[in-house]
Amino acid sequence: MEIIKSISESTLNIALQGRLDANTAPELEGVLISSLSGITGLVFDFSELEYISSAGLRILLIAQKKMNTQGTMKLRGVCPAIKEILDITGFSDILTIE
Amino acid sequence: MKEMTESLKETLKRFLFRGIRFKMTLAVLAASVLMLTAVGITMDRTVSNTVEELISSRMESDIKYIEDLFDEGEWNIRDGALYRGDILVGDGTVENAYLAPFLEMEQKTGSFSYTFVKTSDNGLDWVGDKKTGYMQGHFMRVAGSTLSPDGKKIMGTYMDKKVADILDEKGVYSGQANVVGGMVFCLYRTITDSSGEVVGVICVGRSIESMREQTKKAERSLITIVIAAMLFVAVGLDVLVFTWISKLDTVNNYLRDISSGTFPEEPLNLHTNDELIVTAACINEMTEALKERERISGELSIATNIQAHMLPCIFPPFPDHDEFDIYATMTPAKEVGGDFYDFFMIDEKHLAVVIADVSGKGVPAALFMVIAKTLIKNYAQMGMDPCNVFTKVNQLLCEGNEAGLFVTAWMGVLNLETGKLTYVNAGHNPPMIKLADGGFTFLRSRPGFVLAGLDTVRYKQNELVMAPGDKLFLYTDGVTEATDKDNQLYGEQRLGDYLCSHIGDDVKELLTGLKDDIDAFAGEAEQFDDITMLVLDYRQKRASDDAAEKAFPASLDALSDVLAFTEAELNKADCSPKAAMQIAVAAEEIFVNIAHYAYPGESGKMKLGITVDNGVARLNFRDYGVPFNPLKKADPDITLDADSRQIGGLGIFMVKKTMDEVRYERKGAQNVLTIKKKIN
Repeated sequence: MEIIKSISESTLNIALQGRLDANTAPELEGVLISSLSGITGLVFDFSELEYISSAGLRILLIAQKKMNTQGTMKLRGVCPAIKEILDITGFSDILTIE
Repeated sequence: MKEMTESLKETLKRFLFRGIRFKMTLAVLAASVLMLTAVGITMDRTVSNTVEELISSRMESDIKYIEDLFDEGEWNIRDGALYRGDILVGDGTVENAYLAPFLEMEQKTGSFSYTFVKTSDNGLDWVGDKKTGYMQGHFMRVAGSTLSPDGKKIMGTYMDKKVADILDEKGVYSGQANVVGGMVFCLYRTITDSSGEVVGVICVGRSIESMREQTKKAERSLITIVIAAMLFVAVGLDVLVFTWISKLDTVNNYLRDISSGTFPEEPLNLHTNDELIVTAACINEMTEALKERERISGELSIATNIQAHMLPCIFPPFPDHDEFDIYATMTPAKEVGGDFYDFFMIDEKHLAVVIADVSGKGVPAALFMVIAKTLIKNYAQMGMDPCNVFTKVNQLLCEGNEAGLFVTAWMGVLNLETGKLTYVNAGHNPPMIKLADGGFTFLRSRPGFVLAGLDTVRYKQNELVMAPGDKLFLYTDGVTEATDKDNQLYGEQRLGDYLCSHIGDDVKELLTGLKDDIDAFAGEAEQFDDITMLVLDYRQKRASDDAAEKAFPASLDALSDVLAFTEAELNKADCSPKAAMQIAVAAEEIFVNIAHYAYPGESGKMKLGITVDNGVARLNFRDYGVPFNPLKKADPDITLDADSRQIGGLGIFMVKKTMDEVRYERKGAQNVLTIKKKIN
């Protein structure tokens, strides 16, 4: 999985390419832990993301909890297959999906 | 309950007529007869003497009594008459005889009495006829209590000279004497005046008849007393002995119960303080010890039973599998030994066969055998390679092996689809194998060290491929080392010859026939070692099912491989991207679950089988870890807001939600999770 990170002002943009599974999720968790201080807007770009499992959902939940205290979090470019997973697990209700 | 032994029955029979009770009764009877005879014999001698003495002393007091009846004063003679003080006792005439004291005495005691005065007459004549008469002595009767036979008082008559002479000499005479014509028993004693001069004689007497009667009476009462005493002794003795014997009987019954295998609930109590209390205490101690021993031996025999039933003994063991035939026997020697065989399915297409021999005999070997067998089966069923099974089992057996026991073992795992036999040997005799059209030959491989010998040993495994029709024969050294009476060994040559000449036999015939052959060889010789054999007949290959199956280490590192395998299989089947992703996600969730929970603290394997049939994908996950049903976990609450959401539990929830069917089974040592999903 590729993690492409860019910051403009206090907004962190993270574009994910490939698979967010149990093996790659810790990598994303590491990036978030090191980059979220002072961030008030977090945007995930999922347009290149092919796959997400519960390990990935776990990171999204951690990020959402964190951003609830310091700003906002958005998901962009969610494909139908991943959207269905977010729906099934009730994540659509707690995440902001554009 | 045990049957009474013959020797005990015999003893009981003998005891009836030789018991103490019988002997005691006889002894009391015999003693009674003896005593009575002895008493009878001595009675005549002693009793009559005693009675005479008694009577003499009585007469002595009678004389004193008469003297006391007179007033104070001394005996004296005046003018040939006898006086007491101034009272005239008598001068030989009836008129002057002073009879009162004598009559009173006779009335009182039944004794007659006389008094005589000393006369100066000498040379007195014979009186009476030849038969009853006597020579007269110099004492003349002056007073007394008895009349003569003709009714007259017999004053003035003289004493028998023989008695008078004795009185002169000794002053006293006792015994039978002729008194006025009749024999009586008398006591005569002289009486003296104040100067000590003899002045007369007092005589007290009783008729012989009355004395005899008294003697008889005394004898009778004495005999009565003796008999009574003896009866008393006999009864007392009997009571004593009989109580004692009845206690002995209690002891006997108690012991008889025990010897026939029933332990009385109550301890033996004889209600006594005599020597038997020690017996009872000892018996109770002994009984407790016996009970304990009985309990232990009972448990041991249960243990032996359990051990025997641990060996699979239902044939054919796997009716569903017609790919192979298997048969095995274990004939233990006298003592419980440590041989065992085992066979079991590792999964649907792998069969494991094991044969082993624990060093030593008896309970330690049996316990060790149980442990070794269990460990081997457990690890083999985890899907470990045979060499790793032995390496692991060896390490575990080495732990705390204080007794220094060890196990020789051979294990093979046959892949029923391919015929590949993977085997490992820990110091065991090489099995025999029949391959293709050849005969049985030894399957020699370089054996590893025995199990439980050295914990650092790493075992190596070998492989060969069996074709349908091939056979494998496993055995322990009890087979080759069976001896005949001349100590000849059955040996590998005979074993090989037998097997080669019976290649056509089915598995059961082969082992039964071989055992008969060994028995015929051994003849009368005793079997020293367990004889254990197992034969496997590989009949046909297992039809491989369509499933693509792959084994993976149950570790997160293998996740990419699992997903790649899954996606590749689904791609082949033209699966829609959405279904493919959901199936892949499900596969990941299940695999991650296995990697986390199946093998706590150690590494293990899992297998994933994938089939696509009629547009439905079926994924089959198997592991050999701890029993765990992930579907039982409660679903997470997906309606909570982000801050309240729990992180865990989502994975399996997603599987349940996205798959059409999810099923968990525990199959033997395996966790099997199956999911199904339409692919379009």
